[in-house]
Amino acid sequence: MRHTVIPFGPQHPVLPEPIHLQLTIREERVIEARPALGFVHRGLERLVESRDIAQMVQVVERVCGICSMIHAHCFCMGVEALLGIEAPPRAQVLRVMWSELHRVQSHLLWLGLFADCLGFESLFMQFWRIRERILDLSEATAGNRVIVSVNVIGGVRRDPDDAQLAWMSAEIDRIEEDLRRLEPATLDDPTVRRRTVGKGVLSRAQAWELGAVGPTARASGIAEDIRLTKYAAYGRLYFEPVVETDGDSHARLRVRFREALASLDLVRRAIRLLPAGEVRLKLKEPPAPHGETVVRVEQPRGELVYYLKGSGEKRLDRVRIRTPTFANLPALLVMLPGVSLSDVPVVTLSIDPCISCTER
Amino acid sequence: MFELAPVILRNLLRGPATRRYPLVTREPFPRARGEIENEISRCTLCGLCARRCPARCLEVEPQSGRWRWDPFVCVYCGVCVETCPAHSLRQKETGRRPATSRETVLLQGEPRRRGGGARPAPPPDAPARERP
Repeated sequence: MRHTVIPFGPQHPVLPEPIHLQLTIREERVIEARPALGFVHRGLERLVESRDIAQMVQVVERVCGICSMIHAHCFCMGVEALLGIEAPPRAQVLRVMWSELHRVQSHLLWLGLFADCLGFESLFMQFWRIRERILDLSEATAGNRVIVSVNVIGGVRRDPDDAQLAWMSAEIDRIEEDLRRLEPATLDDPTVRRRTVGKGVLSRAQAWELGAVGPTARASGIAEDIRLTKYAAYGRLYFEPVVETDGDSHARLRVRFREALASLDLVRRAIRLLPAGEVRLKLKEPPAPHGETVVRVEQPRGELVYYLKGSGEKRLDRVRIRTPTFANLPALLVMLPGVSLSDVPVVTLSIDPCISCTER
Repeated sequence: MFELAPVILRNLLRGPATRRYPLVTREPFPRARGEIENEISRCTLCGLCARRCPARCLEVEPQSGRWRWDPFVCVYCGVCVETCPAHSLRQKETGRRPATSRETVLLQGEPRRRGGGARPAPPPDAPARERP
């Protein structure tokens, strides 16, 4: 039997970002997938040589447009650990609030793209319509829609007032109501089920062995979530990871949908928990940390790791970023063999690949 | 099969979710981060904004008195406004308009004398700064 090699990407209608997969096909079934990366490398880690620590906050935000807040949150936590300081309690809760808003908008973006990839255009528009309201919340409270730029070493730069928080809380309720209305169409629709159930199965053992992270691992039954380590204010918010056991594309869809709802709830509880007080420490400028540290946070796609090394200068010696898509790519290569060629876009998108993050 | 039908019916009654931009625009949120403005008569040309800018979109020449801002390089983070000791910088709530050509904003201030002078005290009507 002859094999055919088919290139998938780097430009493909379902791919929001460029990744190339070389697919070896036999009778319309994938038998091997080999990835090629490097289309959007920007050398952001190297900018640490020319930007001081405060400026690096804005640089790391641009590693990923969709979860910029969480990158900056992780970086600031790392620098604060090196300096031996801690952001004030109100700032910690505000960081969680904006991080969870980012998770919701990231998941809504993905849910829309996934619906679009299945050809379900009207559902795609519904998700993106809701996402727009989350971006409005970001703009009203943080100043910017997507790259919110609120983090700073030692706290946050914005402090929403009570009226804004009350409006935000009410808006979150309305958004949740609208999102719940889309649940039957997203999870129970027969065409969605036919395209996703049993497609791209990743068993629990495979997910564990390959080091899958985030919703990809949680859809295979691994209850792993860095928020369980109780960083920032997560220790004070009751939090339970969303776990499914089927390991297929539909399980990953269910995890992300339920996580979006759980994050809305976390935002609401963060607003209720918000203590009074300062949001920013006054620092002796510029910060010049000494030593090295590793920080982990939970991004919408999974575990994000930052390694920071400083030698008492105003610029860090090294910043190393390990993003969740990098950890999930080996899992994708295991999911693809056996999948029909027409299902490759669905399975590829089901890990929510963020290539800009991966290549930095 | 008809899971989305109630949502579609609601949408028929609600009207479109999009705006007829640019004919219809939304009011910006208070304190949204938009264009940078410099009241050059207040500016001391100290250059702190240019040194702090993560995007390097600002250039300050104290000798010639020039202050230059590139709105197409700016990332609209507001760090310059936050650090301006003379309170001459402020950030508008509306963003940069789309343009067909790339132009920088060049302002001419009073050239700084050698040795400089004492830093002026912030005026009583100092514009709102990025401060929580």
